[in-house]
Amino acid sequence: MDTASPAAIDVEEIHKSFGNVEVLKGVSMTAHRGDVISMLGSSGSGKSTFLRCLNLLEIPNAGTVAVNGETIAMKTAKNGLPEPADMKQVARIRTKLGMVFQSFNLWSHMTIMENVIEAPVHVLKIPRTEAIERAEAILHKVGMYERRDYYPSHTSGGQQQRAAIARALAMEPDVMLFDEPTSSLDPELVGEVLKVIRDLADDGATMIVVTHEVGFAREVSSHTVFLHEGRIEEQGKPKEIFANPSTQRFRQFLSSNL
Amino acid sequence: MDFQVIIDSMPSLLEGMVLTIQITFLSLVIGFAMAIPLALMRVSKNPLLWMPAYGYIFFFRGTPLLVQLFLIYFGGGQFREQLEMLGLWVFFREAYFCAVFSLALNTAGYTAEILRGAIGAVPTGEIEAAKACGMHGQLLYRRIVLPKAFRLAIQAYSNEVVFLFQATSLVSIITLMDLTGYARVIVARTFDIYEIYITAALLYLCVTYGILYVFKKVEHRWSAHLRQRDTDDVDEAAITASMH
Ligand SMILES: Nc1ncnc2c1ncn2[C@@H]1O[C@H](COP(=O)(O)OP(=O)(O)OP(=O)(O)O)[C@@H](O)[C@H]1O
Ligand SMILES: [Mg+2]
Repeated sequence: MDTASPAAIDVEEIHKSFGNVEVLKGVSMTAHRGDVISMLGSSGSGKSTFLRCLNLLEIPNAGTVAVNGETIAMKTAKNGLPEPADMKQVARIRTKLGMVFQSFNLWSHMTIMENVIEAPVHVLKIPRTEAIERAEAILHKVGMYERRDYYPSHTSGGQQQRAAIARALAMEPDVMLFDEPTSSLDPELVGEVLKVIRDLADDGATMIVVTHEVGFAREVSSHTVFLHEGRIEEQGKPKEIFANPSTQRFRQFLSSNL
Repeated sequence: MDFQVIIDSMPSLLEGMVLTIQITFLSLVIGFAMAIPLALMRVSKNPLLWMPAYGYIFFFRGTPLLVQLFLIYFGGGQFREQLEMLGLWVFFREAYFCAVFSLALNTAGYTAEILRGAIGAVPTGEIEAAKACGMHGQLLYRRIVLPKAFRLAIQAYSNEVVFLFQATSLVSIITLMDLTGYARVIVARTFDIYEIYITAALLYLCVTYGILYVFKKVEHRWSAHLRQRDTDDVDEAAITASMH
C-alpha cells in the first residue's frame, strides 16, 4: 500500500435517494493503489448504486468522489439537485475507472476485438494499430485471444464477461469496479471469471468488487465492506471480520451465504 | 394485349422512370439528413428541442402527402411576392423543386419517428458501458447510439423508402413527367389503358424489388451478430489451453 500519494479513489459520505427512498445513507471508502476492496451485502442494500455513484452513472445527492486526488466538481441544478459541473471532467475521470457490469453490456454489434479497441481509439485517441497490439495482449491475458473476431452473442457468458473485463482493462484504468461480475453466469462459468479477477489482484490492480462470492472476497480482497440498508455495517480485514464478525447482521449474512 | 404499344411507349416510360428515381433519391437523401437532427431533438429532454420536433413529426405524419404537395406547390404561388423578396421564388415556381421539397419534408417526419423509436430501443446497458468508458455527447451518439439505432431501424426504414418511391407517382399531378406522368399522357393519346398502366406497374415493381434487395443485403451485413456463426475456424483445444 502506498499512502504517500493521493488515494486511487476516495469517496466521502455518499448519499443517494430515488424519490423519497434513501438508498445510500452516507457511505465512505478509500482505496489506495493495490487495494482490493470487496463489498458484500444482501440484495437491495445499495451495492450497485454505490458503485454507479463512483463513476457518476448515478448522481449522488450528496458526498464527494475523488480519483487520484482530483475531486469531481458538482454544482446545483435548477431543480435543486446536484449535477456534474463539467461533463468533460466526468468523462475524463470515467476513463480512469474501468467498470465491469453484472450483465456484461458488451456492444453486441461489434466483435470482441472491436469492443476492446473502441474506447482506446475513440476516447483516448490511441492509434488503431497500437490499440490492437495492446488489445491482443490483454485478450491473451483473459484467455479470449482466439475469440477476438467473434461477436459477443457467439460466445458464452463467461467469455463475454472476460471480454468485458478486457474492454475495461484496455483503458488502463487506475481503479477497476466490478458489479457482481459472476452473478448472471451459470455456476460452471463462474470460476473462469473469478480466476481472471484474481490474476488482476495478484498483478497489483486496484479494485472494488461487489460480489456474492463470500469465499472469493475472503481470499482475494485486502479489505471487506459489508453494506446494509445503505450504510456500512461492518468492515475490516477479511481474515479478521470473517472469523469474528462483530455485528449480528454480518453474522447472519455470512451464515446464509456460505 | 397490344405488345407493339408497350414497345413503342417503353422509351418514354423509362425516361419517366429516370425522373421518378431521381426524385426519390434526392428526397431520401435530404429527408434522411433532416431526420437525424429531428430524431435527436425529439429524444432530448429540453422542451425547446423536443417540442418543435414533436410538432413537425405530428404534422407531416398527420396530413396527407398530396395535401402537403399542394400546399407547397399552389401555396407557394400565393406568397409569390414574399418569396420573390426572399429570392426563393425561382425555387417555388419549379414543380420539380416543390415535389422534392415536399417529399423530403414528409419522409423526414416519418424517418425521424422511426429513428426515435430505434434510439429508444438501444439497450441502456450498452449506453452505460460507453459512458463508463468516457464516451459522452456527440461521440457517444456517433459511435454507439446511432449505429445501433440504424440497425434497429433498417427494416422499418426500408418500408419507408418503398412507400416514398411509390408516393412519387403523386408528382404527376403537379405536371411533372415521371413514370406515372408519361403513362397518363400516353394513355390520354392512345387509350391503351391496360397495356400502359400494367407496364408502368411492372416497372415500379422491378425497382421496388431492387430497393428491397439492396436493403436485404445491408441488413444481412449488419446482422452477422444475430445469426449463427457460419464458420468455426477456431481450434477449441487451443482456447482451453490458453486459459490455463
Ligand atoms: N433507478 C432506480 N430507481 C429507483 N430505485 C432504484 C433505482 N436503482 C436502484 N433502486 C433501488 O435502490 C435500492 C438499492 O438497489 P441496488 O441495485 O443498489 O442494490 P444491490 O445491493 O446492488 O442489490 P443486488 O444485490 O440485488 O444487486 C433497491 O431498493 C432498488 O430498488
Ligand atoms: Mg446490484
